[in-house]
Order: sequence, then C-alpha cells, then structure tokens
Amino acid sequence: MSRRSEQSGHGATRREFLAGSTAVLGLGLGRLVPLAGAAPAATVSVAKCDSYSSAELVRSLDRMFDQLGGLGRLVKGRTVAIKLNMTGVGGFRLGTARQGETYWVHPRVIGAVVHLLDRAGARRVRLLESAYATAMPLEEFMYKSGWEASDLARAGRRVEFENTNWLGRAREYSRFPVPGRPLLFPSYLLNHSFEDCDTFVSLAKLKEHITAGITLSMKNCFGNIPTTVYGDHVPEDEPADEPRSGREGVFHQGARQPSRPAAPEVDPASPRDAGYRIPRVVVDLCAARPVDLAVVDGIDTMSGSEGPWGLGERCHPGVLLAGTNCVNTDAVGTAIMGYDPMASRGTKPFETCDSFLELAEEAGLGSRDLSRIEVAGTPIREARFDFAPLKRGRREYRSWRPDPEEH
Amino acid sequence: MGALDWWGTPRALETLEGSPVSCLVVTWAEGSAGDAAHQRALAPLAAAARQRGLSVVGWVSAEADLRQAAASAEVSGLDALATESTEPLDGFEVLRFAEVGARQRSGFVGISGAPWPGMSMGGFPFGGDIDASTGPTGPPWIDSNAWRVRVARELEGAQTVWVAFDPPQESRRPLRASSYVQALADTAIHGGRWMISLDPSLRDGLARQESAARSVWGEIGRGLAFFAEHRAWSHYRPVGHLGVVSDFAGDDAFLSLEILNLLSRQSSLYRIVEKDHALDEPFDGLKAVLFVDADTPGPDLRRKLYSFAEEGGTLITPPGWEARGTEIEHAWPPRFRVFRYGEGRLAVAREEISDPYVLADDAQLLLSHRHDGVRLFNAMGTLSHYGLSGDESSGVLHLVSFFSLFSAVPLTVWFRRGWASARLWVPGSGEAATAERRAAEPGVEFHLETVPGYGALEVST
Repeated sequence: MSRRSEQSGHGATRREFLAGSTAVLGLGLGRLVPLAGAAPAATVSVAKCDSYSSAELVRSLDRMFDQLGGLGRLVKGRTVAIKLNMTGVGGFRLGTARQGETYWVHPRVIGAVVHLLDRAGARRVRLLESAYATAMPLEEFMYKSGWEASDLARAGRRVEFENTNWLGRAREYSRFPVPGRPLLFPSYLLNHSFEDCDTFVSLAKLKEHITAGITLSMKNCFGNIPTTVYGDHVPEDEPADEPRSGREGVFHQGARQPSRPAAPEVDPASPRDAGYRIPRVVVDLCAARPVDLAVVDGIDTMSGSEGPWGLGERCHPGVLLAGTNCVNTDAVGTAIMGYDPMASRGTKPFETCDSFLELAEEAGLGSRDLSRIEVAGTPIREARFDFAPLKRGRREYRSWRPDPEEH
Repeated sequence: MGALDWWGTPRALETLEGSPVSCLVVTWAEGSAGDAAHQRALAPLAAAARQRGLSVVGWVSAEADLRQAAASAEVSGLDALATESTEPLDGFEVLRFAEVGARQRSGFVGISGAPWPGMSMGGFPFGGDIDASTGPTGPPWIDSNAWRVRVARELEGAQTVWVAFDPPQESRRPLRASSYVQALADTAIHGGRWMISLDPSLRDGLARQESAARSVWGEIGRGLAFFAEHRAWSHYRPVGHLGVVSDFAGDDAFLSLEILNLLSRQSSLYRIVEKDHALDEPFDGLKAVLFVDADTPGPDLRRKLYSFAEEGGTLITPPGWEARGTEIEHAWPPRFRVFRYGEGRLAVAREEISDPYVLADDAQLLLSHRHDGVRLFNAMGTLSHYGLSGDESSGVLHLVSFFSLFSAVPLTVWFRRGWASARLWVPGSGEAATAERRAAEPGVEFHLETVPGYGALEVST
C-alpha cells in the first residue's frame, strides 16, 4: 500500500500544512477546537456566464484564473488531475434536460478548463470520476451517457481518463491519512490517480444535495472514494475486483466497515446518521487529498438535490466560481445560492445535516467567513440566485425500489 | 359452472367477438385416461369455433400418443396439433415446439418454456438488501423473448413463430392490461406471436362478464390489432454494429445463443452472422466482430476476419488466435489482450470465457459505446429494438418499459443518425404523437413526454 508523499496541496509540505492547521484552542473534555479565524482565506473569483458557448467559457474562465494569480503557478510542467462531477448511473435526466444542464458539470466547461490548463503549461491533464457501479473506462461511461469523450481528449495535448471507482491501472490503492484530527476515518484508500498528480482540481456543479445540503467543490470529492473498497457488497477481508454498488452502507448508514486493508472508522459508536457522517467524510477527504483549484459550474443546474432522483427543478443561475481554497470557494457559492455559509445544522441548507463548511473551518481547511474572503469579479450580491424558493423534492436519502408486483 | 368449465363451452367464443384472434388452441391430449372424454367435451367448442372462422389447434403433451391424438383431432375437425413431442407423424399437420434454447429449422417454429417478459426481482441497484450484480444488462434484470423470435426468423428460417408462456405464477394480484400488451410486443417486435394465456383472475372475470376484465381484454385486442396493422415493422432490418459469428449449434450453441439473449437485454445493436455464411456476407456497417466458437475457422474466413480488423474494425476472438500488431498496454477489459492492427484492433481472450454474461459485456465494451446508434435516457427497465426499412428512409424503435416508475417520466431518445422527425405510436391511441426534436452533436434527440408499457417511435428522413 503506497503512502501519500509529504507533498500536500498548494505546493506546501505536509508539515507546513499541519502547521497551518494547528492553531487550536483546548477546551474542556479534551476536545480540540481550532480558531476559526485562523483558517485560510484566499481569493474566490466569480463571473456571470450566461451560456455554455465555448468561446464565452474560455474567456470567462481565463479571466477568473488570472484573478486567482494565474494558472501557470499551479500547473506549469505538472500533472493535473481533475475530479469531475458525474454522479449516478448516467442514464438519468431531470425531465429532458441533459445531465450537463442540470446535475453534472457541463462537458464544455470541462473542455474549457482542460484547454486553459494545457495552455498554461500542464504536462498532462487527467480526468477522473468514479463511474457508478462499474469499472468500465471513464471514456466509455461518458459515451454511454451521451458525451463525446473524444472532444474532451482533444481539448489538450495530453488528456487521459481514469475511472477511479476501483483499483484501475495501479497494483495497489493509495492510502491518504487524514492530517490532524480525522472526523470519521483515519485514512482513505483511493485510486492511484489522486496520488499520481501534482495539482488536484475539483470541477463541480453548483447544486443542492439531499444528504449534505449543498454539493459544490468539497462534496464533489465524496466521489473520490472507490466502491471496490467502500461499497455495500464488498468482501470484508479484501477489496472487490470491480465496483457493483454505491457506498451507502459504509458512509450514509454506518452499517458496515470498509474492506481491509482500509482503516475502520475512528469511532464506531459515533452516530449512524447520514447527516452526521457525510459532512465529516467530505471534510476528511478534503484534508487528506487537498483541492488545489476549485471550479464550480453554476450556469445551468438544478435545485433540491444532487440528481434527478431528488425531484428538484432546473434553474439558471448563470454563474461560474473558481478559487484555490475549496472551503472559501464553497462558502462563496453557498452565499450565491442565497444561503448563509455560516449556518449550522437546522438552518437551510443544512436542515438535516451538519455543515461541512463549519466542520472544514474547524479543521482549519479554510474560512467560510465572507468578511475574510476576497471576491474578485462579480460581487456576490450581483451573482446571487436564490435556491430556497425552488422546488426541493425529498429531503432525505431513500432507496428506489420497484413494485414487487410490477410486471 | 366454474370458470374453467365455462371456457370450454361455445359461449366463451363470444369473448373473441370483434377481436383479431383467429386461432384457438385447446388442450387436446395429456396422455391420460381422461383424454377421450375431454375431447368429446370440447367438440361443441371446436365446432362453434370453426363456424366463426377460427382455426382450432389441439395441444398435445409430449407424453401423449401423438398418432392417437391426431386421429381424434381429424375426426373432430381440428386444423392442426401443437406439441413438444418429437414423435414423427405424417398425414396431419403438427406444429412442433421446443424449449427456448433448442435450435429448430422449419417454416414454423414453436417456442415453449419461455419466460413471461418483465422485470425480475433478482437485482436492483438502489435497494439496501438487493444485489445489483445482474450481469451485463446492468440492473434490473429483465426477461424477454424478443431475441429468441429473432433467432427463429434469422437463423432457423421460420416464417411463423409462436411463443408459449404463461403469466407469472407468483403474482398476487391481477396483471395489468399493460403487462399483456408488453407480452404481445415482446413477441411481435420481430414478427412472432404469443399464444395468449390469461391469468386466473382475468379468466374468472371474463367468465363472469366483469367490466374490469372486459376492459383488460379490450386492451389486449387493441394490442393485437396494433401489431397486425404494423406488421411491416417486423420485417425491418435490425441495426447491428457488432457482428456475432458462430455456427450457433453443437457445443457452441449455449454460449452463442445466450450471448444473443444478453446483447438483446442490454439493447446492444448486433447482427447475427452464421459462420457458414460469413464468407459471403458483407461486414458493411459493422464496427466489431465477435467470433464465438472455440474452434478457429477455416483459412478463408480467418483471413476475412483479420482483414476486417486491419481495415478499421475490432475483431474479438477466443484464446489461441494469432496475435498481430502492437499490443496496447492496460487495455480494457483485462480479460483480453488488445492489439493495434492496421487501422483497427484485435482483441484475443487471455483464457476461455465460458460465461456468456462476461463475454457479452466485454464484447459491448470492446465495440465501444462511441459507436452507439441509439441511447435512451430515463429508461431504466426499458428494452429497445431498433430496425430500419429496406430503403433505410425510415426506422422504428420499439420501447418496452417494464418499470412503471419511469413511465411517468419524460424519456429522451438519442439517435446518431439525424432523423428529421419522429412519431410515437401507442396501441389503442389511433393517432401517433409527434415527438419534439432537438439537435445534438452528433445526431438528434427526440423527447417523449411519457411512454407507457409499450410504444413504437417511428423515425423518418
């Protein structure tokens, strides 16, 4: 089992990363609570973008990346891995709208980002996603879902694809320990692609989420997890050869532990409530495999859920976000959605779950305090698009089951 | 009088008044001592049926004496017998039936032991205690007979195909009318006929003249009329990008036929290529060829297959075939060594693949979804069959949706070919509904508000 190197996100060493997150204040009962004010705050760029015209996307994103200090410092000569947001089986649409117009990052946004990374000198760009319940190559998953993967392959000089829902081409999974104080698992076994990259990009969708309240760039990383190790039906003693299911048993319900040699969860007596667990997994993952660049597609999206199964509605915020700190970026995104990023459990959009923004801030990953985050480009008040009045659908995870009498 | 007795009387024929049913199949002999009395009791029904212009066929079980049954059938004026018996008989027409997996070569092919088409509860992706591993179709698992009818038409030379299957025994409530229409559709898509079999509840209800039962029967009749009106569609040529080459017989029969079954269930576009005809048959339009049989073919066919790969296709073979070209590292699926060969690819299995689930799945991936000719969205639990008219100016996509949750959700159909228009036909609706068209890159999409249990999307240039 390989171990992630000391090199962490943003070119910082792990030691530096930990140093940055150890501004903690000891309280009673031995709990360590970090000083929120110490969590990093970096610029977040916001742009209004009305359509998925490739030219407009490239123009907008180029300007946004410049506002962050330019892509070159992040990607020149490096291998860049981009975690896409393509949740679900791929054959679902919200009504007749294409996935990219509702709950997946739009393929033209991917193409534009790949093009700009390539132009900025990235040595190679790797597109990653854990395709639902299959080990088929990511390109095949894209084709099957109606995307022309070859268009994405042509967006840069060296573009690769990897389905990260299983071991893939590596001989072993990469172990990512959670630095500092893990919230749910002490470490995570992931596909090698998350280790074999110099720069990690989370390219996500601006949308709500049934279990976690919102998706954005941090929750997107939940899809880093391979279901061959953390799936519902995998053997206990070793990972499965191929993915066959989702991850609800291990993560949402806490009904079982992952396959060995993945580490069992820190506290098996912790709540088995998905609203407790999922936000903590998200924070763990973003700490273990830091996001170097967060890009959020909020041009066309949907309300109420992360996918059509949540019964939300299509909407058009017409906005793009980018930032080098995923917590800052998601805090700004939350505000653009009309919600308070400082909200805690019980307040929209976190009515039934803990806020992963709050947990991430406590873990020192980044600030959610808008007064500390510089917003470049379009001000939040001009980009704001309220999700609260939109159709919300169901607000809890529920399995779909067929009618046993159906023929 | 019980319902079963009632169905044995001439009054039962009133049910068929105005319906397209033209043939009555009655149980004729079971090889028991009661056969003669049973046949005498059926005589009035048979006579009344003939008066109404119906053909009457007697079903004879494999255990019964076929000669004796034929003799009594002739006396009673039956038109033919139907049986699974292999006992030879001259002088009286016998419609021969065999189990789903058995090959026949005849103008008439009868298929018995077929499953009721529909969703099996064995696998479903979103249930906590339900295993999603249901083979290459991806969950949920769907039983279908359409592939078998296609095999009968394309491989066995059948002009007439009858399929016998009964409603599921485990059902605790009456079947919906849409289930019967699906059963008709699943058989009729490739030109077969289902020997209609009613569930006990419907039989009883019709015997009692209940309005609900009559309503279901009415929908069955409208379904029959629909497929009779659109019989031309069953002669459309199935669109196929994956050629499956086999002799489909002997030791290779199980694997090769089961692959056809499984490819159909995942709505893959395939073409059946009988090995003996493969040399003469053009491979035009094929993107990949799967050679199934364990024995390598003769040199001429082998040369043709390698040339197919060299010129840009993908040739998929069992182990032992000569490797040519440059091996591709980390090729998918891992059960194959894949080589770049000329303009195309050669995929040689590392070991014998005896599991048809695996081979069908791998073949589809080696073909690659980049060559999909049609894709469906919001169509979980839907089987589709895509065929083109002789001049390719029009086509039809049959959609059999077995999952009613999705019948209320808009469905999108994408075609690689940029058809100009599409109309959705639904049995009983009379008029076809024009589908909304939206250009795609490449191809075209058609949006359908809802699709009930069965619909046919007719596309044209």
